[in-house]
Amino acid sequence: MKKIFVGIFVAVVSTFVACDDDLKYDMDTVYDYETNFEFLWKEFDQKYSMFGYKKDSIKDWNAVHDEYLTYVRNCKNEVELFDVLAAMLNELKDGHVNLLSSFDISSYDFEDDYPSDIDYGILSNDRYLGKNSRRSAGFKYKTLREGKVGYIRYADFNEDFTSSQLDFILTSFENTDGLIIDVRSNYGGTLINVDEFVSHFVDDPYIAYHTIYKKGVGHSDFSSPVSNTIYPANNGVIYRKPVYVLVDRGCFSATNCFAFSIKGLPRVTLLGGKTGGGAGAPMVTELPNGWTARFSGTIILDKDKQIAEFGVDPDIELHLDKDLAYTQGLDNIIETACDYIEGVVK
Amino acid sequence: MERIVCVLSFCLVFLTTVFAEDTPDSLSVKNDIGLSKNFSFGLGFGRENHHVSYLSPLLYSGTPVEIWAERINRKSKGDNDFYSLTNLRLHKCSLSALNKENKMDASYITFEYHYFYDWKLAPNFHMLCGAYSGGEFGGDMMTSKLWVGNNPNYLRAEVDLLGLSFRPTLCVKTKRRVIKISNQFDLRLAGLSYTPTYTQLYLDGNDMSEYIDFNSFSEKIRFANKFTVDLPLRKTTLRLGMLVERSKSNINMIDNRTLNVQALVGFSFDYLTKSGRLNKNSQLKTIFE
Repeated sequence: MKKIFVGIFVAVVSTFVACDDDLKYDMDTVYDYETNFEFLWKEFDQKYSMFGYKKDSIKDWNAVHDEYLTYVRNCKNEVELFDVLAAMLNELKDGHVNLLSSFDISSYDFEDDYPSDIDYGILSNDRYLGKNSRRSAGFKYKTLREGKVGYIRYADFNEDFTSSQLDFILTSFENTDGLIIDVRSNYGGTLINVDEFVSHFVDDPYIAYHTIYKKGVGHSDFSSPVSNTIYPANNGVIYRKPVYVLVDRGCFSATNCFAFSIKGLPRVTLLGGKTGGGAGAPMVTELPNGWTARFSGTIILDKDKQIAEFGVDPDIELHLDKDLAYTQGLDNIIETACDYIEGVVK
Repeated sequence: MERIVCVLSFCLVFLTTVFAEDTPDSLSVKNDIGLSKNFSFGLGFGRENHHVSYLSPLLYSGTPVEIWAERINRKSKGDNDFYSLTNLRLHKCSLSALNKENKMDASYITFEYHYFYDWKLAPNFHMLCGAYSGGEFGGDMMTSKLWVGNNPNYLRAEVDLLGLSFRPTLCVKTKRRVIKISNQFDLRLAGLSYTPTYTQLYLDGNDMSEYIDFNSFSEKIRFANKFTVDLPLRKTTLRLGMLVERSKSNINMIDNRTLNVQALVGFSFDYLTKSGRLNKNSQLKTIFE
């Protein structure tokens, strides 16, 4: 019996002594440029979800390593290191990828080379959201065209709202002929708000999107898709008239998900420019020197299990007419949606 | 240093208890009390190392503060004595990595229920052997001077379905009092964990089965060693001790490690259950008698 006890004792003591040296850094390695570079490259290599999907549109990640390692070795200060690492991450062409330090935040400009389809000055005109508009949670709303068209501006999917708030807004539009939902330049937020919003425009439950997430360090190690079903708002108002959703390149992340979730529903039309994409939910990791990096850790697929990382095409493509905007103060995208609802345009 | 101290303390108590011998000068006092209970409570503070790869690849360290309470009930069946032990801990720790840029706050509640058989190796030495089950619920939250974006939290819910538990207890008689020295060792065998998978997000959680993982000893090693000394004073009993707790798991590709070393300070009370009064009977020194 004593031998058994002594055996257990030895096993336990050895486990106590077993330490976490593989996680430790000393003050030299924590701020070493090459250590941080290797660390960041490996974290992305193992956790970033879009390598497989983007293999034809981005550089090979191993080649990126070799290229940028030479740049890192030439860095003379941490600002230069930041710029090199940021440039390396921008090779991924992903708006969900950021490098954050105490002195700067890097980001990939997914709106580059696309026209701006929103003019906030015009939106705040009395014709649109100036006078007589109401505000509830993240929504600004009013009726246009003498009460025939409902208009909701939702600029941030981080702005939470309750079903009853949306019920009130939609009830106030019960005498309208149709509704405009303006999510242009909405850079995303929480998927829960996407589900809640869409639920007021569906008649029956349907699978709106699927999520796959990495289950291993390989570029193709993914789980099977987990479907996300959206149900009609429980005891809430369902809007059953034509709905025009205004989108542009600034619709990113959760707004991109909103666009492909609501697209194709009966009575719903997407109007505007191609959305900005961003089909992976972001995660955060930390570098030894304390900087943090943000990256896509999952992939969200649309209802047909297609990836919309590079954006969703609208049903009707239309861009802001800047001449009309500057000369007459009109937003031609809103006006066109109103015309469709009123039957002026078919 | 922490490890050396905990290993030495463990060695001391373990060897003392294993090689304890019967003495003719027995401490046991025959009495007709079938049930008795001990209640103790106090504070713990010390040092903790914590690593959750879901949040950071770095090792975080901090100073934990803990409130703990423990209750032991004795149940006699014939000549055999059984003990049930209930343990509740509220744990809070603020940790930082070597770079000091970001902080992690770990908070959790631990509940355990142990059931022991008293293997009386000697009249003054009780080798309590048994099993335990319990749970740990809490989370780790990252805060940063930088903006960290989505998902800086790691929620934790773990159920220990079965573990082995040993509590050798030595009662040392002094002139007028009995000093109780215990060393409780717990080893987790199997349990359930609520945890995301590698890069899975909590916000996606429609299918909760994806988050639940049944894990065995090999997937999660967790053991705790709690050394305590109950020192009777004039009207109360002071409990001093040391807790060393180690857990290491790799579940759903998330590496999770904790080393927690704490000094324990509190008070211990022995009760007569039938009367519900405090132990004023001079014959009843501890619940083991």
